[in-house]
Amino acid sequence: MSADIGDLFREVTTMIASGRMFNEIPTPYIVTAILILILFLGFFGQSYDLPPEPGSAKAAQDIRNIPDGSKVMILVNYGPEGRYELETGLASLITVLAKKEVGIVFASLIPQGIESTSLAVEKSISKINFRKQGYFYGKNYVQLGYLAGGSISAAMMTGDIENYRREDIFGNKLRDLPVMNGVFSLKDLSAVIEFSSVKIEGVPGIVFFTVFNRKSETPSIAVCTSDMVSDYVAFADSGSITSLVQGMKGIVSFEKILSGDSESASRFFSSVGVLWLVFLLILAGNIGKLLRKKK
Amino acid sequence: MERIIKIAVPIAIILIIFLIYSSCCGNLSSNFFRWGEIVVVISLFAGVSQLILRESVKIKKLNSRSFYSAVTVLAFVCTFLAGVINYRSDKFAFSNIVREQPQYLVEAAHIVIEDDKYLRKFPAKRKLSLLMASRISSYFVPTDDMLKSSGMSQDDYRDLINPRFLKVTENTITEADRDYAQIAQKKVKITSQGTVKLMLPVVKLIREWAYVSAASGQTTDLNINGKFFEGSGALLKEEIEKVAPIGNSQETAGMVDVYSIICKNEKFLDMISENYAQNIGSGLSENAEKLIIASFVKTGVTFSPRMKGVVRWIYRYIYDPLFSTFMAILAFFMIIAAYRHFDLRKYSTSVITVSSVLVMLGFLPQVQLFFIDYLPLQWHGPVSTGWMMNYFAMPVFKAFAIGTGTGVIFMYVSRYWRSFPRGDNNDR
Repeated sequence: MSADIGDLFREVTTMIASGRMFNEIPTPYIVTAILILILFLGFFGQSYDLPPEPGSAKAAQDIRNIPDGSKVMILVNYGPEGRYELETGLASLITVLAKKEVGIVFASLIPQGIESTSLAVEKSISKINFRKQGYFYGKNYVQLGYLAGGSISAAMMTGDIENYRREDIFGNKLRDLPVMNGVFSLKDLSAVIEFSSVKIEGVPGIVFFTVFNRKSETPSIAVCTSDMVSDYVAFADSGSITSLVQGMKGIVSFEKILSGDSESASRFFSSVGVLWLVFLLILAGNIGKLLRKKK
Repeated sequence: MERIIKIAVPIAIILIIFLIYSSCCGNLSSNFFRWGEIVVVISLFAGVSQLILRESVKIKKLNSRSFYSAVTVLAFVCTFLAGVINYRSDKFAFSNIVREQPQYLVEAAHIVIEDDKYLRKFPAKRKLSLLMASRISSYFVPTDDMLKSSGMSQDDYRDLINPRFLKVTENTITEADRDYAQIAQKKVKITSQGTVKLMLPVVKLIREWAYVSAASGQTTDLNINGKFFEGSGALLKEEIEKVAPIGNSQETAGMVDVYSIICKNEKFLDMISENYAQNIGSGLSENAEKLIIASFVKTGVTFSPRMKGVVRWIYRYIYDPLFSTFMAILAFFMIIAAYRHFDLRKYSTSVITVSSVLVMLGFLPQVQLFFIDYLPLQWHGPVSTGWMMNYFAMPVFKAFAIGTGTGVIFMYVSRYWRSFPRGDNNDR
């Protein structure tokens, strides 16, 4: 056994010393090793110092303008696929809103959003500084759960929330919950915020609420994953969405503006590293193919 | 006859559900829209039944693919049963309360320590309470006030709960103390969980009573399942009058959190805790149980997510990691695709390659910073945020949409025109 290990060690050192290493090891193995190394670097808190994104700065400003002690609705429209991109942003937002004593009405237009909400709330409460406030279900936040029906549910909620829901997800009557005091329709809310990784009926979910709530000046803030940016940006440009936080880069900027620090920054560092690797591989692949053709 | 039954039975079922949901036709218009949910559930059920039937047939064949079908059926059955049984929901209600109200668990631990003849002589009782609370629930995180009252910093607390730092804490908590504390810890766990289970429905009724009394202006004695608490109405009236006059409007109830006021009244707490003490079965003295019940009522918690425990567990520890892994693996496939298939020599692949590279460059912060730092201001347009989207992608999409729409119109007009017979020849 020890002889085998000795042989292997000798072989590897010889390969490195003679420069044969990169000829002997197949390219996919080297690339995979580099990829893992890049992902691993994210664990050491590596990050970039980036200028603030305009969309994120606008969204953070809209959040700051929410009056203390008012109520907002947060639509959580992401599942595990968007969790690692959006969850830290949502957790930071909950912390900021809790400090302002803003009541939150959580709802989801997709079933997976229910558990995503719970995870984000737990993440916020686990922060020790946040604990000073105390954060209670029913008093500080309520979860309406999955709103089936997409645009129909948004239309119903805009008129009178109780037309659509009389109980929260756990069976408590909405009128019994202190957080729902004075909230009868979407017009009673100070803002509608969406965290999303999917479209609902082909458009951003928050747009339904903006469209049906047209007369109200309630700001609508959307935070979407990188792959959803192209679907959301048109609505942000047209004014259907007041401010848009675009993808991971935007979320890092949004978190930094809101709370001075970002948990997503190291994850963003890793994803940028992976993209550089992909970019270099495209270059290397094409140059290699070109050279082979010339030969 | 069979045909009539086939039509009548579904109609009857639909009507029954409709009547149940609309509370015998009351508020019909709003309930009508809730049918969306029913339609979703029934469709899902029908689809899943079909899937189970198909997979069952594959399992019966007993070939190499039967294993996959068995996994699918098993996963569905387990998840469905977990949802129906709602196992361990009380544990999740307790965890949520610990997360939201950590002082409740510390208070319970402290009461148990004071109730114990040996542990009550212990010098660092507050510290021991924190240790016990941290061991009972992984959701427990102490507040700064708790740490301050036990004379500890964040680092001290980390050392206390971490077994690697046992030596540091040996001066304050010995091994013998730890063993003895284990027994007390079990008592704290049983009592605090039992109190949540017992008192959560009770405090909900107390809250309703307080709010109805405040809104109506008539403070009657509290009645819980036929048991009247004499004098509770007078106590509530007294407490409300201290902060606001009783009105007959809902605003009074909304403005004043009457429940949080009454649940801090010592006499009222005694009244409630006396009635429910010795119903938990923890083996503690009656006084200790009374104090724990009172500390729970004082928290003001009346609602807690009664989440389906196992369903939540399945989502968090199976579905979420599996899906996240699936998404992460895409990065490796992206690498392979980048190396092998992003070829500039072929027209179709070169289009994809160029567009992918542009998208990636837009995402890379170094590229953005490079353009900001080194490119003249008049050239910032094409590389600024949204330029590609607004000036390049959007016109192309619009052209695409106009082209498709026009093409569809022409196609239908052409078909419509061709469908008419021409002249004497009727074969068209």
